[in-house]
Amino acid sequence: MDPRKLFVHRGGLAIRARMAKSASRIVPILIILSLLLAACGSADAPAASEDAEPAAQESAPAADESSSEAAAMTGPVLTDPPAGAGEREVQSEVYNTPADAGGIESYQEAPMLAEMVASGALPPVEERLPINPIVIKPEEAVGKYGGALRKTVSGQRAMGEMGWWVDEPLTLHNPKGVIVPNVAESWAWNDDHTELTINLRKGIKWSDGEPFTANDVLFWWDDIILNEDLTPSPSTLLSRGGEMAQVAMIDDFTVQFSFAEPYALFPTYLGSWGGPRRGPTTSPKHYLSQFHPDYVDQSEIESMMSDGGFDNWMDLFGQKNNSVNTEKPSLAAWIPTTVPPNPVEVYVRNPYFWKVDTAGNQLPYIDEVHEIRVADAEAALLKTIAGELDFVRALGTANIPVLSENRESGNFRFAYANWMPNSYGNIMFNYTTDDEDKHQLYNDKNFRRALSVAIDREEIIKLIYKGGVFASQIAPLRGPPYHGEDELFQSWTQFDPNMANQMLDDLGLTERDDQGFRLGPSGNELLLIISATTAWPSETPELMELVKGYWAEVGINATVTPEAGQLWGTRHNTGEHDVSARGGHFGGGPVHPTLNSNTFAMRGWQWAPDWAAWLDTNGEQGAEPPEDVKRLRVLRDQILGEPDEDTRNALMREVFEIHMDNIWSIGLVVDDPKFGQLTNVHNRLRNVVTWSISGEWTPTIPAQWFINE
Amino acid sequence: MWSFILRRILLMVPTLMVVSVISFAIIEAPPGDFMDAYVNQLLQQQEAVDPAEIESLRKRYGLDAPTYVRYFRWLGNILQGNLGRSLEWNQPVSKLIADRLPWSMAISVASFLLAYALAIPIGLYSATRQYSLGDYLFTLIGFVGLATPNFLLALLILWYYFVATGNVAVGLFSDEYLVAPWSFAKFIDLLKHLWLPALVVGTAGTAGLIRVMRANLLDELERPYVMVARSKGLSEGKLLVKYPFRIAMNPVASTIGWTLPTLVNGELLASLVLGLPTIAPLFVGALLNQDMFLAGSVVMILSTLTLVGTLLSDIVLAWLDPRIRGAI
Repeated sequence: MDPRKLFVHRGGLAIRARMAKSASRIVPILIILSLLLAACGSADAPAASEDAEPAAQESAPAADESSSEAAAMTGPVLTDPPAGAGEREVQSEVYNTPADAGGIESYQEAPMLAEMVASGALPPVEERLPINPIVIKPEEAVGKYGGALRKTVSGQRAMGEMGWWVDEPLTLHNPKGVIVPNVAESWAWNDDHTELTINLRKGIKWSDGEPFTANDVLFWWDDIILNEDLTPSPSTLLSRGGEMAQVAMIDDFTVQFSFAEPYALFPTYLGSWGGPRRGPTTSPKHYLSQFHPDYVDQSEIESMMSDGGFDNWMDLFGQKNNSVNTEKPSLAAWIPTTVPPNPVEVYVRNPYFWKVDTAGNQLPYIDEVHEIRVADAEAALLKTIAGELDFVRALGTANIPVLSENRESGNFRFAYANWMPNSYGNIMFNYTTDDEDKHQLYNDKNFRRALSVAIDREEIIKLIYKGGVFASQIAPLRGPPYHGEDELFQSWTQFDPNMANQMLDDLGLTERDDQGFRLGPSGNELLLIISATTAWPSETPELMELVKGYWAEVGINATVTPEAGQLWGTRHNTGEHDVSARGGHFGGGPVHPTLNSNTFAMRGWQWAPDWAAWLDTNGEQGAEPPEDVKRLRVLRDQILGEPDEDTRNALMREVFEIHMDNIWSIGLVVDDPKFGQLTNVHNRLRNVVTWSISGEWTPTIPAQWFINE
Repeated sequence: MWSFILRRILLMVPTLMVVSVISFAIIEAPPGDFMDAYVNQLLQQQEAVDPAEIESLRKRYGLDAPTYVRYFRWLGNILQGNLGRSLEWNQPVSKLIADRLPWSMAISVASFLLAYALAIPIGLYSATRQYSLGDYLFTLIGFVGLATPNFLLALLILWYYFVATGNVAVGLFSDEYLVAPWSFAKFIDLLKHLWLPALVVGTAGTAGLIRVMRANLLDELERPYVMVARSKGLSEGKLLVKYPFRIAMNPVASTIGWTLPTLVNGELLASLVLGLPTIAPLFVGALLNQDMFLAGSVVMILSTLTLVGTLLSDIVLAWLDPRIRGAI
């Protein structure tokens, strides 16, 4: 990396010779000098702290200025200590209308907005809110306005957590995990669940004051999704029975989705991670149509393209339609004001946000969200411990002890972010490999079962994890409705080398080489090459080294090759791996298992890319899968159309039973979902629920958070 | 002399071409491309990914073309002064680099000045008082500075500073000034944060320079002409500064030009650890995500600066030392 190294250092040899000469004489003095050096170092530190003090004094006038604008901001609202992780049931409620909340007498707004109203820069709050604003019963108390929320964004992302917070989908999972209205005020199905009529909330305005109507949803559908240049292949979630949905505008605030087959799960998908939750409410027609060739002259578009250095109009449109475009109107609580990457990305309150609290105060309480760019994980940890951040998610399971120790000094608490369990070290096989011996073995479920019971999962937990994980096959969300903790997901996880040996003998693998390793069915050497990702989780190569040892005990020869995440992904999806290992999920929570590629052998990251391709293309590409895999897809289709939740869950159970019978990928351990996404919340931040659903915080409504100072 | 400079500049053209081929090849070396990185990112977020859509995006960005076609397309654009758009940040590369260049320069200049201000007097001292306690002390610090990787030093100082003061010295501004408009107070705040990266980035350079300075000066001090001058009664200070010091400065001067690329790139890992808004973290990210245009542009800029820097060094050297002028 250092270009200087490309050149020979002049005089370098002379220096080295001299160093060698003097080195021997220096040794005795080394120790004394290192002590001296330590003394110098500690002398530095107090000087630095003196430096820091004037900075604090200088910041004081700034604080005075801000207090003049917000008379209400005097002292904390709450004096009790905040509840720890999982210590309180979810208290906050989402009411669909003010009437549902028992009526709201009048609406209030943030002082900074009141000033703008007074000066005529903004219409009054009553005119900015929709007819029926959503009413939030706050988690702890009605908060107060003001302050900035300090979060982090890693070096390589445009947006951190804000990437999710800037979406206000049509429907939302409420903090208890139930799907509730959001931008859609209500919806209704026809009898056979093929026609969904969605009534939009009347009077919602974009952040620039323009009304949000069905025209915006139709723009998303007609001009983005159905435009072949912009969306060459629309998400399969938007079609049923191989046919694209049809979307019609009934009136200004009513849209209708029609499907070729029943699609009872669609309203859930509209508010799901991985579902079509972004487009319908993030496509302001009055803004985006300025960059769309169906609405403006080609010559105008071309001049905009050349100004911005774009090669085609799709890139121009894509940039304008990006969430971080500061000019694009939004429906979110906070809107971006900076274009990444900057040392800090600043989001400010949306004066037209359409949710209020039970006292009629327009949300959000917090003026600004600052996403501070911290590229290094250690630096993020340090800033958290120092109490310099208000909300930090998932600093890694390994750091939990350090964070626990510093909770008091850093003045922060934990909040759980329940997540579908992360299954670590899933071992996947190349079912379409060219090697005939391996092809035969990998496709025999008894071979996979034998390899599974050969593994000592308890020892793995002791050696690598020291607790916090459970021995299990890959499993869905724990608790209802999928019960990832069930015995079913313990299938073939017992440590039984005798049984493994017996099963392998029964498969006919009785011939051994001179080192005692089993030979393949054709008498050739059998060597399993495990490609272990280093990306997720990073300990995968270590896990696989242990697995290699357990397999050697039952006569199976394997080697482990660590591969960087990207390289692993590319090679896995092109079928270049023999055996590969990475983390995995089965879904649950707002990520419905039908959205998970692992569960239903869909394209994406899972255990049999070739089979998925065959199923997706009706046999044109890939390789034909066995009947059980085809059955998964049939079940998925039934689940999508099934209106009754109990029946859906029964069908899901059948899916999991098929998986546990086949063990297409061997799971080692799953983590405790509470700890996998542990969040650190500064004690000055209140109204945060003590646990969130599915690792997501959007459903718990960050707009109700406030800074208690 | 002039013909020499002209010849050197002309020689730079084919060198740059070779550099461009090599850097392109290095960036292309890992399997996959930006779209693979993009897909991996989407999959990590549980987003559905449609292979057909990815293929069409690949086509749109021209990533499906053969390597040599992409190379010439890239080179052609660069020759026209168009660095392309960063696939990752969806912004012109020139804007991304221009936004961060001042910070990279500020940190590098600060560390550069620090390195020379410390190294030259210390080198002088160490050479004239060889094997004294002070010499050993500086030698030790020099070894520590050379041997400690910058990012480790950065981490150690960060931690030490945190334990001592309770503050985290990440970034270039305190929280309250991060989004504030420029003011004198903000500038002071910047100076309060700038010392740490300057120190961290400058340490290795300082240590190296001290050794070079000391070694060169020691070589010179043993020369007969010094003895002659001394025997003729020239004062020690005047003797030192007038003759051996000037000659000892030659190698130091000749390396000044080499610092030109580091002005832009700074110390990569230290910048990452300290969360500095320099080009370095951007460059690392571009390499990781195979953001071709951004990574390629940074490499080309660095290579160009390396060549220009070497040329400048030679010119400075020729100017300082008439003997070299003759050799050319």
